[in-house]
Amino acid sequence: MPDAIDVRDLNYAFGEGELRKQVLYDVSLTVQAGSVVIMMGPSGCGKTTLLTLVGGLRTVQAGQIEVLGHDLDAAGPAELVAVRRHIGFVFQLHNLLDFLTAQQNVEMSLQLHPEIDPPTRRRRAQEMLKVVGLGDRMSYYPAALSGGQRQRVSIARALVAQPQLILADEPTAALDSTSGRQVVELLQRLAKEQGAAVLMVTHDNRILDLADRIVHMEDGRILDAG
Amino acid sequence: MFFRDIPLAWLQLTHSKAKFFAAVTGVVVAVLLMWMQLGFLDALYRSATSVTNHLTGDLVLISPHTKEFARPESFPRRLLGRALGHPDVVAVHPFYEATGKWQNPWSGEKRPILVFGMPPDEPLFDATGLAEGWSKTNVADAGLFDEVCRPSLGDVGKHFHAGETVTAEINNRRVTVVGTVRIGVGFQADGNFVTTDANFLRLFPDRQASAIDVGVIELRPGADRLVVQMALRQAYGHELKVQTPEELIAAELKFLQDNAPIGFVFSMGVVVGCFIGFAIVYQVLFTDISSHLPQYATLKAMGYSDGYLVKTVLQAALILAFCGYIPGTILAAGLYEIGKRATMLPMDLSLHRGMQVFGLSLGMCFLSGLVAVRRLRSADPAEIF
Repeated sequence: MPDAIDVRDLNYAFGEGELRKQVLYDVSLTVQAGSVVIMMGPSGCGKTTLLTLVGGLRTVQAGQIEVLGHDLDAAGPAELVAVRRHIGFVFQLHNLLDFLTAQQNVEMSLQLHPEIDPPTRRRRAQEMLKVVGLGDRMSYYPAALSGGQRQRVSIARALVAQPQLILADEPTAALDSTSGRQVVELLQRLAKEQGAAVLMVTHDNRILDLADRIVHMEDGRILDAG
Repeated sequence: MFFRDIPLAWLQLTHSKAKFFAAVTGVVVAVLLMWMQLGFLDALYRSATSVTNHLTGDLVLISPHTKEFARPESFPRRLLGRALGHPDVVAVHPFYEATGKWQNPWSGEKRPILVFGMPPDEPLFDATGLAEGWSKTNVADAGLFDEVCRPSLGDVGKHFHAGETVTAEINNRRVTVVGTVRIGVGFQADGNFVTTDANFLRLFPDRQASAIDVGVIELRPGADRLVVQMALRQAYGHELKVQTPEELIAAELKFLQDNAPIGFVFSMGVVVGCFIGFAIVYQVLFTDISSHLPQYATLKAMGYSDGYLVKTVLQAALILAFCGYIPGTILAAGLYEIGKRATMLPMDLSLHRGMQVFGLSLGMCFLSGLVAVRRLRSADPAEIF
């Protein structure tokens, strides 16, 4: 089985000329299919930049990134958009659309796949919300949900299309410790069930036991790629 | 496809009912303003020709110095004889016309009224009520009063139909209303009074029977109007203008467009309406985008294209156009009715103007959508992590 993520000799800098500031130095990292990798490191060490590059949200400057069999370093903007449809994103803030119900927010993810017809789309969104324990909140707007519930909706949104890769950026940051751990446990369990790989950036020490592997980053370099 | 997909634009617009209502109200105001301005403009143009529209006859003779039908230059009556020389011309009728001062019999107010004098055997108008009342005008100081007049002249029609004898003064001479007609008023006067040539000359003592204002030519049935017109033009040279009634109406409109700034004034009103709508719709769309930037960026991260978001914003703009157009048009219908009663100007909702206003509202909303879309550029999915 090919690796979900294969990063080689990645360098990345913001700005140009005198303002140029390099944030990633010769980063190499692989994430095997179906494994959960947690990336830790101080603020500004470049881990979020790495996550956006792997997620196809930034263009590769130097080095190679292969995600789910796609070469991102050779991809144009349209191809990057296409690759992103096969990745589930979970953000620090839930970023749910406030004018859509929980179910509609989850459906937005499935709507990107034209082969899924509307009845199937609705059914799968409902099933996914039941799986994350929100079967009785499907028609609620985000404003009527608690922080933990919103983050669970966003996990449902990230997972409903059964992506083979999930990228999560501090998903527990806005939550209290109990619901934070519940959310990550849920994410980890579902990813395992679907066979999806997870790359998660976090500061939260209490969830490290859920990882198959922990990667530390500092000053734009990976310390232990073990 | 629109119906398969979650209607993002609609759900976003209508999520807050109060905001949606405010936005639609803005478009309604703009639509209403457009209807009113275009309606008045059109009504003024049409009212300017309300008298000429009712003129009978196949060809019309006027002085080359006559610029407006309601303010004619007189010409010698004997010139009419020349037209009779053409074999296809059956008759040429003299037509007198002047603006007099009507004294409202109830308020005493003096207002301008157009007085038409025509041969007793041949009323040269084709207007409702004329056939019934015309024969009664053949007595001294009698005439038919145009019911479609401004209220300033007094409610003559109501009193007349109630069976009262209505008398009033034109140029300080007492006249009796013996019937009513429906013609319509333009700018130059508040109403119309139709009577015989003899009565006309009584009301305007400084006018001579030998100086007429219009000659109305009647042709033999089956005659080629344009051929006769060519021949008569040669016969009259620069002395008189020979026009078809259509040409007379067209010339009347052209004069108005060239000499009265109303076209400009009302077009400005339409532009102002468009601008109000544009500003309101832009404000609504811009605020909606601004307050949802992280969410839009998330959609982009998930794999939605820029095109999808642009489409959503433009859809929202078009939804506002639709939702504002319909109530705006219904309100306009009500205001047209009120405007019609107040001014007696011909204001009607026409399909043509409906499409015009619809096109303008769509364009206005679409344009604000296009401008608001630029705000989407700030939705950068790489920045939301």
